[in-house]
Amino acid sequence: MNPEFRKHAKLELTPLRLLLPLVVLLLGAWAGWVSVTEIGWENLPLEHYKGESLLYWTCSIGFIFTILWGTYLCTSTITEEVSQKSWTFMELSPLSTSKILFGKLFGSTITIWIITLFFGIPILAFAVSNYIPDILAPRNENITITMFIAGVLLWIVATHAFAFFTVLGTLKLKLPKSAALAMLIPVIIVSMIFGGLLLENINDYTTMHHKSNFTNYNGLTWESEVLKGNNYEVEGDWYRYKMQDDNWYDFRIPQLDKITLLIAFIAFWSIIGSYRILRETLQYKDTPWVWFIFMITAPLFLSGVSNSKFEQTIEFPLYMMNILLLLVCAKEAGDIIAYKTWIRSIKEKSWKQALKYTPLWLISFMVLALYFLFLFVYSPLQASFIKDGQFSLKMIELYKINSALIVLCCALKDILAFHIIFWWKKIRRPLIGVVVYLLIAYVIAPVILHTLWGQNASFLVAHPIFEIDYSIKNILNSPLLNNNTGIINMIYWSILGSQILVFGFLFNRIRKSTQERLER
Amino acid sequence: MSQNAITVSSLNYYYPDKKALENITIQIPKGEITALVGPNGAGKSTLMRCLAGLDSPFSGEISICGIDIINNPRQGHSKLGYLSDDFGLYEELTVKDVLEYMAGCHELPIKDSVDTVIKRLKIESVQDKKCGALSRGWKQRVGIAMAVIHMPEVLILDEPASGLDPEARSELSTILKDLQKEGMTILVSSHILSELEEYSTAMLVLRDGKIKDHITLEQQKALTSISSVHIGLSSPVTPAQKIHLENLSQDKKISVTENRHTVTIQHKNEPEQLNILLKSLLDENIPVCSFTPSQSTLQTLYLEIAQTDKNQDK
Repeated sequence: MNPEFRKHAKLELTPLRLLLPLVVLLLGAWAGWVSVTEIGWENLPLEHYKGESLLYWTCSIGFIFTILWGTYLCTSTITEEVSQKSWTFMELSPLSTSKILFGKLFGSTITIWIITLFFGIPILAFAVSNYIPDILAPRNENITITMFIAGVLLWIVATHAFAFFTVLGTLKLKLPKSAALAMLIPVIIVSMIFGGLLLENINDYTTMHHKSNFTNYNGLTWESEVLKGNNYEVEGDWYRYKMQDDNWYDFRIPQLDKITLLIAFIAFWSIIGSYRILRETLQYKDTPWVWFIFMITAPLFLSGVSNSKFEQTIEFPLYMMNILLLLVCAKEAGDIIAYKTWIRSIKEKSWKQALKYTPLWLISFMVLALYFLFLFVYSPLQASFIKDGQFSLKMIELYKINSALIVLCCALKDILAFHIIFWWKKIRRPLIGVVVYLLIAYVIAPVILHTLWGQNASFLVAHPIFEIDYSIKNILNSPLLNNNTGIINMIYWSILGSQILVFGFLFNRIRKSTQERLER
Repeated sequence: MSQNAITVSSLNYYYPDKKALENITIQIPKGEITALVGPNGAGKSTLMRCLAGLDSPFSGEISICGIDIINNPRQGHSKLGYLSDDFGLYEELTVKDVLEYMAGCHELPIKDSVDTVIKRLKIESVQDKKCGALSRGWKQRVGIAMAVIHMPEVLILDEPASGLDPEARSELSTILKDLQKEGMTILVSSHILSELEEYSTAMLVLRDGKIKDHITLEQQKALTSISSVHIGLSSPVTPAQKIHLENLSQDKKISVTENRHTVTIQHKNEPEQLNILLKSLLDENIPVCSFTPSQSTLQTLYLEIAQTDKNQDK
């Protein structure tokens, strides 16, 4: 058996830890089932209401045990090992990274998994099968239950793996234990959102504003109309069958399946991310191909969630690439030694080594630049001819290129700013410095400008602009400016350009002094 | 096949604000117990962590029994054991549990290897106790047992004696000598030089991230073949006796205390030579009432190197 798994199992698996949550879960489930004695106004079978109650009771208790307690367990396994200094023994073992990851992720949460797999999941399956009224089932009930259960299991794995990844990340940044635990708050919030989406979707499968006289009302029947997902208002009541398909790009997919797929994607990348960061902790130095693939697949996959073409091609990918770039830049900017090693490898023409030390923000920036080039080439192909035969770009296509270029320039500006903050010796807490910088650049300055000069002037601090409504023409309608688009454009790019120049100059100064400091 | 267990060449390690290790090049032959000594902040722990593959240096090469530890740290861990100065055990697990864990990590037959290491480290009496309930001395033993369960060829110990009582220190010394007899190469750092003297066969002096000296046992013996002999006299030394004593001293000099009752001379410290010296003193009717040869120690040797280094810096 995996020794890391066995070690954690020995540490965590005690009769009390196993029995206490189990008793609470069973009591909760029992209470959920017996507390419902009457049917609702929808006039569905009693089992439907009992199943609904059981589902919510189980999910509430399950959330506390699997997400809150489970997240704490799988992260404290790292923080405690580090604080009690036993981490080195694990680092020194020749165990493979995957065995360590599996052992920690599932070993530390073994009580949770035992209860979930042997009790929680059967209860959930029972609850959902009762909750879904037979007459409404648009597809085989077992498929829906399987999809929901898969979603729940993936949701637990994704939350634990994401928490594991986050804490390992804070460990790499040498942040204190309190910071590592504080990082769990956003993890749990994100997890709650996805858990809520899962529940909402299973709810959508079953909720039916129903009246017994609906059948054959005005000639409408379940089979003919309601199952198509249409809504009807009859005598002031809404009759709706909310189980609707959704889009992933142009593919039709049931909403529940879509959210399960999304959670599976997050779970997959959380595990891969944890694996890679664990390898880094164990002194492996890998080439950054995984990050490159993630930079491409994450925006590509997640953009498909949106139903808007503009969001799919501009807002989602650009936002995501930019955020990922800034995250890795904040992680890497302070690692001067890694930069030094990278530059030395390039000078020595040791290309493999150089690739291993290539900053991930640079990979992200290159992907962003490639996307800009793609839009630059692709968007004009979407051009249309106007009547007199003159070739003309649609405004929106021009706007796409413009948006991508702005994001690229903003990224460059932020990369320079991050490095100045991290390399400036007087700034003792550079991570806080980065947060302050982002607040000033993207919140405080726009708000001030907004207050002083009007609605759209805030964007003139070189804020990335995505909304089509904020097209160049609209921005320049601000009281600060006249309606001359050319002038506005010039002012916008002058501000952004001068910011890049100033940051570039400051960066160069600090780079020299940092290099001198290191040579001493 | 290389006879060196540890080979380090041109190793550089940087912290963001300073060079922690600079151009370190060392070879440690198999079977040696090498004492790594140096003042606080000299880079001892950093060097040891690099050797153990726990930190990646900026440049240079490290080979442990022929394995490139920088590029294959996990592979190297099958050949080495390491115990840091501030290591911790899994407080809630028993001694046997943690040893089983380590045996499992190294893919060893669990029962056999655990029983063997328990016997070797003589920890039978605490094997079923929880690690959190052990004293510092026992924890140290268990820590070493975890580090050597796979019988590594190289053992690296960072300040293993810190916090141990004299009895535990003595036992540690015995353990290290036993492990050396089994063929293990040991690199051990400590501030307590007198205890290193008991078992080390070589000394590596690190200062300001640079290797200042690497002395083997043979060199050490040669350096310590001359020692000071303190001669106590029942009556103050006379001028004639003083001349005779000066002639007996290796450097033809003696030092006399203020009351002229104690004379210190430099002399070879081999037993036969000391016997001849004593006879000569008695033949000359020098009123000897005590005779104390004081051997040059690792500590004095280290202090001499440190002093020379300081003088060079000036």
